[in-house]
Amino acid sequence: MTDDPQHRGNQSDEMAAYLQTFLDETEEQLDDLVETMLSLERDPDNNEDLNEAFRLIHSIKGSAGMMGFDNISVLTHHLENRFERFRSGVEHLNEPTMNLVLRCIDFLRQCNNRLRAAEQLGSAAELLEELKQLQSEAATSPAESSPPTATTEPVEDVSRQESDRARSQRPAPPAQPEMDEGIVHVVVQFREGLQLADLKAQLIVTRLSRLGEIKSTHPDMQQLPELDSIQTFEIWIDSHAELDSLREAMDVEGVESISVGNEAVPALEAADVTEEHEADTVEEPVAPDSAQPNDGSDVTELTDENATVVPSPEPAIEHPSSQLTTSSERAPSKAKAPSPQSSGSDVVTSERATSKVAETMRVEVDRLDNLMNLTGELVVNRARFVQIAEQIRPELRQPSMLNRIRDFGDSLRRTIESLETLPNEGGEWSAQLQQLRDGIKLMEDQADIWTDGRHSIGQIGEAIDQLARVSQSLQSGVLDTRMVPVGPLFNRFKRVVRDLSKQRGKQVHLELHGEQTELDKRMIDELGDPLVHLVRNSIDHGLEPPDVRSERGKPAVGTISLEASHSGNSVNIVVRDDGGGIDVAKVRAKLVENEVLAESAADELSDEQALDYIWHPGFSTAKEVTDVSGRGVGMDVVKTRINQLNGTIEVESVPQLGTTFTLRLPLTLAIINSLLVRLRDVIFSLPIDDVREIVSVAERDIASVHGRNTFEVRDQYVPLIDIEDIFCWHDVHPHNDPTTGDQSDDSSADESQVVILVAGGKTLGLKVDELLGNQDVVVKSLADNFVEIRGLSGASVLGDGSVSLMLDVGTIIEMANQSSRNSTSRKKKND
Amino acid sequence: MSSQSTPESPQPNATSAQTNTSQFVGFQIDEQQYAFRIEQIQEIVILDEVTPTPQVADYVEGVCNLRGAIIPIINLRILFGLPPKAADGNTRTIVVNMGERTLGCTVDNVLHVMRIPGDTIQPAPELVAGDGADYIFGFAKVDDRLVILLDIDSLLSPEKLERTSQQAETSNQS
Repeated sequence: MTDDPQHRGNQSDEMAAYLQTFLDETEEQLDDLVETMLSLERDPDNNEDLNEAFRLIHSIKGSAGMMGFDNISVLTHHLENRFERFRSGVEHLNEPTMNLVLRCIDFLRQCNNRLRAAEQLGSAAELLEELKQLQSEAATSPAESSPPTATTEPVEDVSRQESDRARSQRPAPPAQPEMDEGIVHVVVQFREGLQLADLKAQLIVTRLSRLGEIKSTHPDMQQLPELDSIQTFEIWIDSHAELDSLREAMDVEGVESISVGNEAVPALEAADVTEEHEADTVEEPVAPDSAQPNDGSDVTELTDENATVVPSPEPAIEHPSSQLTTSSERAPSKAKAPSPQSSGSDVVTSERATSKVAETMRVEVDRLDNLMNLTGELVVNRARFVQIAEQIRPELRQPSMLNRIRDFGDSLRRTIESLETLPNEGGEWSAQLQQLRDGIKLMEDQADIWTDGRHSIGQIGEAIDQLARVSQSLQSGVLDTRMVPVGPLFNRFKRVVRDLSKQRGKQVHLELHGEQTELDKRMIDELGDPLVHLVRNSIDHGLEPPDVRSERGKPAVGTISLEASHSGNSVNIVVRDDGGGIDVAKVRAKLVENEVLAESAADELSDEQALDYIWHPGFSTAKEVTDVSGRGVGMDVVKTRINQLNGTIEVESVPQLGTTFTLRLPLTLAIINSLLVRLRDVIFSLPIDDVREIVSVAERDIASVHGRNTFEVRDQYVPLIDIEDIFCWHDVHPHNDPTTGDQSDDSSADESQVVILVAGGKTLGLKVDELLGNQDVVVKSLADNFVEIRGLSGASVLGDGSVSLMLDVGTIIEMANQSSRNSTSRKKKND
Repeated sequence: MSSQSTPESPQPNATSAQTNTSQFVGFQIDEQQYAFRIEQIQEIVILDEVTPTPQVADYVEGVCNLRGAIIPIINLRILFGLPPKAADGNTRTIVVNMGERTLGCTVDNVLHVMRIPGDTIQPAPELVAGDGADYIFGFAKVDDRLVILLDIDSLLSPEKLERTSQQAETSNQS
């Protein structure tokens, strides 16, 4: 890992391997940065946040520098400079800077996207120009001239003394455009009585040599093995790397403290040393000078040192160590913690650094998906095994059957014996009797084989149970690996809300709850757009302008809250605003205007029904296309997306008080615990989360209200439907219809099994022919090879290889409502 | 279908320049022989269980599990507007690939692989093709029997399926 551009060409392969890590990390850091910036917007002088922002920018700069993305590192370098001044209190963070920083973040994100797409990075010239302008506007203090590095890094006591000494020898170097130029003096303190300290020192030198050129050390490298104990180890290194990465390189086990100073060696300045210089040319002038503080390292040793150490970065070590540094860099940002001062503090034990690496690991989502698919197959196979195990007749497991065979053999043998006592005329029967005896023998041999077999059958049963248990754990384990908290998804909305509220001239306060709630990664990815749409809607249409709000006696600042919570096997996400609610009259007007309904029909709708129409595809063909919500993408798209995730969405609106959207989502996409039922000789699966209960309903308890069947369950009237009411079937091969035939007559003359389904706050009773129990099913899309079918969310292969269809309960309920509204659909069955 | 009606076809050589032989898989619905190009055919299977799907056109028998994949089954008899016929020992399902999609076509009987020289393929007569039946890309005589060559993509893509079926309906009524 070097930032030397000359090396980059040869290492492009290696770089490609790091690129993914770089992108992932930078993305996280940018997310964190946005959050920090937003919190700074509320409190621009918050030191902790300023430090955090500084730290984030700094580490982005660092990794960009390592990857050789000059555009990024230059921009972040300037940003870093700005923040250094805010942090030290020289300047205050103002709004123009705030906006500019956010735009810089956007640019950095764009850079990431382009890097992902392997495109050329854009130029940041414009942003840089603006930054410089702001900088010059604010530039009043003379501190400007001090080199950034001197202030970037908190200077430890020891090094401060060192640098003080250096300064006394020589004034601080003049302002330099580039950072960290020159020789860095570092002092490593080993733990007292540390074993093998010389090896540790060697390791540190090896690691440092990747970041720059080691000029000299004290004690000298060659003397190291001879020394009994080393406590203080000093290194002079010519490095352009940030001090942080130097620090990290030195942070090996046994190191008690590290101090990094910026001690320029006088002679070097004169020689104008740059990294590109060949070692020998540098060495000659350096040695005597750097030897000066070291009492006696000499030229030859130094060149030897450089010859051995510098060209020996073993890639084997390089990989883990680079990951180690990056991930431990990232870790504190999540833990919300130490400001640079403390994170750069003396005591950083290596245990901490290594344990962080062991805790998390980056895995491509594709690999997890693959694992998930395989697990899905396993689930199907498990179901098959379980089914087979159930089909093994219990008699086979029991010894009684074989015992009976043996008893039978014995009794036959007795019969033969009694036959033999009978007068045997000329031994006429002997042959037959012998045959019988042989037959009995054969039968008993077979019985013995069966005894063994029976034993194995019993074992198979146990093995299947075991397999089922293990695959169950595997399944939940794999699901677990895909679970990520919704926090990052929610945090994105801080920015969305900030930008939108500024644009719309509304004051919005965003509340987040339950960020720790976990959902399948894929689900989180898919949820972004629908949620953005809902939040935009709330800001655009929900929240009133501040003056209207105060007129209505509400606080001028509107509140939008995003809440996530677990409920059984599903996760609820609630988007709530305290705005004016949805204006039902407007909805009606819009429906008529968009020619969805005739005026009379629109008037007939109850408020609740009218509200339901916001999901109608014809509803949101907005006249005025704002860039925020009415872009022709309506709530129907939101609903479709949520339904595709096997979720439901419902809306609740109270005039003057606000609107609440509730999304209910399964924990995962692929495997769904379902109730299997038989309808019209087809097996359907119903997501168990949508099933409220199963009841038996007697014919006489079914009441017809407006031509629609309902029945009473726990004091609540629930509409009752037949699958025929909502689905239209064609039978290619006419077969005897079991629903109307004898079956229903004898088994349920006046009782029918009804599954009560709940989705989107609505309840429906579905008559089923047979209940088959519940099972985990792997849902596959019908659209992959076919088309989407309204009312079905997919199909799954059952244990016996047959296919079950999964009902999309939310849509079924909707369809049932529609079919009852225009009751003509029943006739369709006749053709 | 207006099947056996090719008395006056245009000169074969004028239109079909290619002379290389293509392979087709022949199958039979009622007495008529049809053929698909072999390239798009994945396999021929005997299905034991098809799960009927609601809300689909009548020519869709349903879906079935082909080694873990869920594929739709199209009944070509119904698609061509012929009366349904119960499955028997000869009934086969031809599994075809159309781009990313895989689907099955139920036919009365699968015949054999036919090698048809390109120059013996005659374009469909205007009477048939002009009617929108562009899924018929030609006719050929094999063993003195007329074989209708079908283009899978034009016949079975979801958009075309609906049209084919409507057309079958009208042609049956007339």
